Amino acid sequence: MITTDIGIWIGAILTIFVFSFLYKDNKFFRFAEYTVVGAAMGHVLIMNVNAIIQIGWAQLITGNYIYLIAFLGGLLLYSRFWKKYAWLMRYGIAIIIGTSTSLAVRAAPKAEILEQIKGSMVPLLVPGDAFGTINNIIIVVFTIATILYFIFTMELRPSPKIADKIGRVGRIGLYCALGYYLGNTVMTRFTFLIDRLQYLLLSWLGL
Amino acid sequence: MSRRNILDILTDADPRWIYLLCLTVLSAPLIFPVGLPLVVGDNARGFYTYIESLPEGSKVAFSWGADSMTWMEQGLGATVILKHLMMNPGIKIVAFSNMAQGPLYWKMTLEKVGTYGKEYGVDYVYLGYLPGKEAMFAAVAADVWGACGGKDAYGKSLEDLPLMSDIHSANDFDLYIHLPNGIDPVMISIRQWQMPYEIPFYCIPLGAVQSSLVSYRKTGQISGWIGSAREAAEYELLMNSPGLALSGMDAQSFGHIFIIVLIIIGNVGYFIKKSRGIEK
Amino acid sequence: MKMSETLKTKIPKLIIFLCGVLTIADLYLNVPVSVHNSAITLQKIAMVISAFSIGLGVASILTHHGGAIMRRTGGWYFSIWLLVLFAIFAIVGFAYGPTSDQYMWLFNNIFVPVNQTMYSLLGVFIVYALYRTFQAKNIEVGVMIVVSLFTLIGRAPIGGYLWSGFPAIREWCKILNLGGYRAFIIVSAIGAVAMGIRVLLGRETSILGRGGE
Repeated sequence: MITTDIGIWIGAILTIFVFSFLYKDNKFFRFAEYTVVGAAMGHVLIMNVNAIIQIGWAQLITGNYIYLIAFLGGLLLYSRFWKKYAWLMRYGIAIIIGTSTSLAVRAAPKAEILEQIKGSMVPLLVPGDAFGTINNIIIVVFTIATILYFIFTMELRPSPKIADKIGRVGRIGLYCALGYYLGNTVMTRFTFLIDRLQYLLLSWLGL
Repeated sequence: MSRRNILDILTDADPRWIYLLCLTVLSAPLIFPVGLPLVVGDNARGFYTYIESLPEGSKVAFSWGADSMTWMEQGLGATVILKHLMMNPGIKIVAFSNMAQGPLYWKMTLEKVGTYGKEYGVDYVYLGYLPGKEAMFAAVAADVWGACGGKDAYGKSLEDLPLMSDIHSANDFDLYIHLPNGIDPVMISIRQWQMPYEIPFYCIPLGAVQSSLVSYRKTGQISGWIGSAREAAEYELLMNSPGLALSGMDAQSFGHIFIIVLIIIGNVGYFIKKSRGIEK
Repeated sequence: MKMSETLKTKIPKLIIFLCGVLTIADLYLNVPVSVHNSAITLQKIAMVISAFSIGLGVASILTHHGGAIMRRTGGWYFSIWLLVLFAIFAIVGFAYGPTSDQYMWLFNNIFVPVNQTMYSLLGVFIVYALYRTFQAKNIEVGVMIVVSLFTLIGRAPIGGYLWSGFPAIREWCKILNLGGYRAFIIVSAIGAVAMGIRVLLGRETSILGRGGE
């Protein structure tokens, strides 16, 4: 039975406004677009102001004056609205970039490079397991060929023909990865769609 | 204008007809469920078994990165995992969010699954929304108390929460579960939690992102996951708690068959046109 | 001039470098406890500044739409609605709290349906995109199509129901994916580390954004 909850009715109407875009762009869709932007802005404002108070302000008022740097850096970000003093925002950005970049750089060599190379070092012959042997060969060949395919800055010797063949294998490895990715993506997109249809059909219309 | 022949209709249909067909194919099984069987896979079973095997008193760090745009899929897995953690009386949970919508979804999910007698502050704590990306994950891992300003999401001091008395860094946790809203947060979790602290890392990624993380799964950097609606449905089966994930599986099946048929039609049409010299 | 360049460029680069040295030394060297604590404090400071930076986006959008209303540009009445909704969410959120029943009613019935439906449109668009463009124009694309078809049928519950071989083939496609994607991870990580080092050493000024230069 169709719901009498006014909230679900509002949500269902807005959902249909968005779906109307599938027919063609129209004012109802634009209305929905502006709705989500306005709501999102209000939400992030509240959450981030609360976070600043909880993490930054609470530290300041207990005497941890080093957090003045955080407030200064954060407020200086808003200097971008004054052309003459826009350069001041660089101080705040510098702290964020310096910290985030160094956190990533210090961990990436082990987490993303060494571990992955280690994972590629699989035995090319698995005694008694033909399938395992084939799989390991595929992993090693595709990994090496695709890396070589990506490296543009060095000329592959002994000849461009071999380089071209290796590149082809690398491209096939890449396309296999993309094909697998695409196959998985479809389920995700369908889940989003099914969720909305469940909302309309089951929660709103009560079917 | 020349009449469209059957080949043109099949290979160059008006997109609005395709959209309508797609919506119809996905809607029909929701209204008239078929009940196709579902086989539980290794990922769901592995995650379930691991949580079941956690000893009494195990402390779980749960990075609750819920966001409305990914909740439609991740929410299915997150709900059933949280339910499983709550049902297990011996498990303690400390959750935090790196997404601004996290606190709302935490509250909604907790109300939905129930706490199974768990007491706030003793068995579970929620630290709220903590801004920042790499810096936030690193700060929480190094100093949980400092990263959240010494207070939980509700403004209570951590000193008043008995669970937090012996939790100060990632070293004090036995398991780290992450609900990421993309691939970057997973990478950050590997760099800032899994690698430095060598903590078992399980995640609930989007199905689309899962294929990009297979390499990390194979190296053991990610110990296990349930990604995608299908694995969430399998977990619901294991929990004997059918929910939204399971109810959408018929629609998934029909949708996938539909898209496979369309791809085949598109390719058949392409090759026919190519052989007739219409398309190069 | 020199003072201006020092203030605008050299000091921010120095800040980036010092933050980098502190953070990297904390992991790789046996630093005193005070240095370790300083590194963690720096991360918490970065968290607070990140929270401020989100407000920049809000301020930019407010400025843009406020300007649109003042100039009465096309669709300016939508901009009024945007600002009204922003005010409603902000006022209710600050007055009652973001997890209050009142705020969550607004969130669940106004924001969530629109936001989620926008993303769900990708589901129909991907169907049409695959139907129109996913054609085996060469061997590589043909391989991609075959892998994606087996992944699709193996993923769906009906695949296992039709033939037990489909999920098994899909599992094997994971091996094909592994080689290709692993290379991509290694190569992009090398690039990211190289870029990161350039940033920390002050070789990349574009990262600091516009600075009135």
